[in-house]
Amino acid sequence: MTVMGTVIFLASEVMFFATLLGSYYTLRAVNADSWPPEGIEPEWPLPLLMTATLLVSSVSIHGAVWAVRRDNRTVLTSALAITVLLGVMFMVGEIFEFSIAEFDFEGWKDGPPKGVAEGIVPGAYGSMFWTILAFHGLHVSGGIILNSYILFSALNGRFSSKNYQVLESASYYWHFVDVVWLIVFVTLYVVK
Amino acid sequence: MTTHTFTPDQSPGVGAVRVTRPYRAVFLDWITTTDHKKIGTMYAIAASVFFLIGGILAGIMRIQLAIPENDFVTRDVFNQSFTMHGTIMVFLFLMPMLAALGNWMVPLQVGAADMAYPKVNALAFWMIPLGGTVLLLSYLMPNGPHAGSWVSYPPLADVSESGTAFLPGHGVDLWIGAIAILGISSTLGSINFIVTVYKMRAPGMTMLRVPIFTWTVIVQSFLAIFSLPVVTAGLAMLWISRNLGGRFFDPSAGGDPILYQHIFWYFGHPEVYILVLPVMGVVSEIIPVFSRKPLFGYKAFIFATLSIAALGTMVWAHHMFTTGAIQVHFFAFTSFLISVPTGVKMFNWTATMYKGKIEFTSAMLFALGFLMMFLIGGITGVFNATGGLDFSLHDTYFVVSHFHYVLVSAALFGLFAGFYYWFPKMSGRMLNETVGKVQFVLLFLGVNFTFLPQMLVGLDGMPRRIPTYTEEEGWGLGNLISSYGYILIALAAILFLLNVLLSMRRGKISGDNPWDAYALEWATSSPPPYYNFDRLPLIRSERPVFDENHPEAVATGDH
Ligand SMILES: [Cu+2]
Repeated sequence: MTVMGTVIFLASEVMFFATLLGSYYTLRAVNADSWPPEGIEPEWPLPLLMTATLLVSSVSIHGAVWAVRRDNRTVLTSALAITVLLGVMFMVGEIFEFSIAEFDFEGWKDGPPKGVAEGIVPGAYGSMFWTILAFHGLHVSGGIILNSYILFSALNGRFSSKNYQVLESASYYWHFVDVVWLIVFVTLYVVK
Repeated sequence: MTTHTFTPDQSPGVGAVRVTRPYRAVFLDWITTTDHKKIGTMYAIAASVFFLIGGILAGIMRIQLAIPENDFVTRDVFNQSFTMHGTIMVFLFLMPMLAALGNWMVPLQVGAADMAYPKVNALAFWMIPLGGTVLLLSYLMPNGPHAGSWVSYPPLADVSESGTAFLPGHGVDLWIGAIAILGISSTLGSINFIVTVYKMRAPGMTMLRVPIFTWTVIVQSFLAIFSLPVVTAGLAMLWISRNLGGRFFDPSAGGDPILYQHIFWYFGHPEVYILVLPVMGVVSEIIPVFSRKPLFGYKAFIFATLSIAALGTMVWAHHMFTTGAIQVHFFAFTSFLISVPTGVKMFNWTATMYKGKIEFTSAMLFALGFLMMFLIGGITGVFNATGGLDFSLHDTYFVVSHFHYVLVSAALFGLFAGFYYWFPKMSGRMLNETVGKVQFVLLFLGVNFTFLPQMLVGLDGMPRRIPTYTEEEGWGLGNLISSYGYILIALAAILFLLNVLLSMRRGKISGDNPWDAYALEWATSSPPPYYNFDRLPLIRSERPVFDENHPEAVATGDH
């Protein structure tokens, strides 16, 4: 039953990200000749590495589900630990991405940030870029907390092949975050 | 007939507050409960409180507009009043009140002991007072609450190029926070309804035997799940614009204000069906019972409900005809299409009554009131959806009148019908029928006195949202009548409150099935025990209780 509720919840999450991504493509069409604005070139190597991290973590959480179905506790806990670790690595990458950004969130404190009027960073492009990244990051962070809780429960022997609905639900959520990232990556760094 | 002894530990319904336990224990019991019936009652109480607040705000506007060039309130207070009135009535009255009926009736109608996730259910409820508090906190802030209308269009709700807000202070920010909280609450509630119906139906209760009210709640839930997150994302962008320097909707920085309107109405139009579909469900429970005939076209009704929901996601830009930035023909066409399944429903209801033995109970009267008011709302809607006409009707009182005919008919007629019908099940006692009929007459006159003149001054060009007007414009009489109408609606609401409070203690004992109704909730005692059902009847049609109580009719196929 938990699984069904999770799947419906994820449908609402799909709509949330669809709105953000739809807005991105709308504004991209509106500013067809300045998207991304001149002089802005999102660098893809780090995000590509982050993509790989997240993809592997999807495999590892699937491994955890595989293991719990066979009551294999060692594989279960180690797969979960790896998933948490990879999630944290992804977030480290994302925080680094934010730290090198020129987008100044506090910009308004002393007048408009440089370039607002000309429609470049942090105009519409910068706003969409960082908003999408931030909301995805928040979802990954939530997933890390959830996965840590699952790991903790697993260490306390809570799951078995007859009782792993919560674990399965968490894995669906994590796959969802992963798939959204793939779309975000393609949108922000490949299609642009 | 099952009898149930009423012990404090199982106290389920409205009438249960009178048990002789210490107040503290009763209080703790209610705030920690995960029982769907108690949560339903709490939804109803919370929604009533917010109805009172929203109603007072409407009163402020009606006093201000009653005579030309009135200065009862300032322009700012007027703007805040209509913004908060709209927000409160939609998010804090109608949605929670529908959730109240849904929480009470959905598990009973499908024969479940509770909702699928009782704790999530309690969480979803408690987010309502939380969201309401966040919203009302803005009255304590400098500059007061949001004053830019519930649509919160940029640039008004946004900041200017130089970063100053057109609506200074944190009214809009708190409003955004409140909508996000209430949206999540409603999403959680919707998930709960869907899983409950899908997983917890009693044996024999196939999807095509599920009562109509529950069906409409399910379709409503899907609409909520697919539309609420959209506005949450849009409002998040608006909040980032106001507070963190984002530029999504500012053309001077590459943004697009029309984008916001698309996002808002992609949610805003389905929201209408979120509010109206369950009310149609209530009416579809009541009309067959008091016509002594089964609902004409049960399957057609379900199909029409699904069609309305599907079409309802393709019409949002009919709110944006005058922007000149959308395909008027496409959206006018899809909007017209919706009148087809809506017409099917009208036909379902009238055909059900045709040659029926109609009993004019209060519930039935309110249901018929709903049909009439909704018809007016629907027909005026066709005018608005006509591309060319809309250019002259847009943002006039004609539109205000239109959506009040739709929503007030749903909010008041439909909900009153539902409460007169289900109060006996919830409390074990009947509401007073005479008061109900007086209340119906008051409300019927009140609604038409309030909103018919608005339609006329609207056709005469009176714009919405203006705080006052001059004598020469000639809208004085219409507005004065409209303001008197408000008093009648208020009286009807007060009468209902008194009726509930008195009937809760002194009403006639109802018994399990006072209306000889047929859906599953009437199979258990009134009020139902904590675990809902001592026994379930055999479920072999969509009318299991009728089948059990009238074996002769079933045998002759006369049902
Ligand atoms: Cu609409």
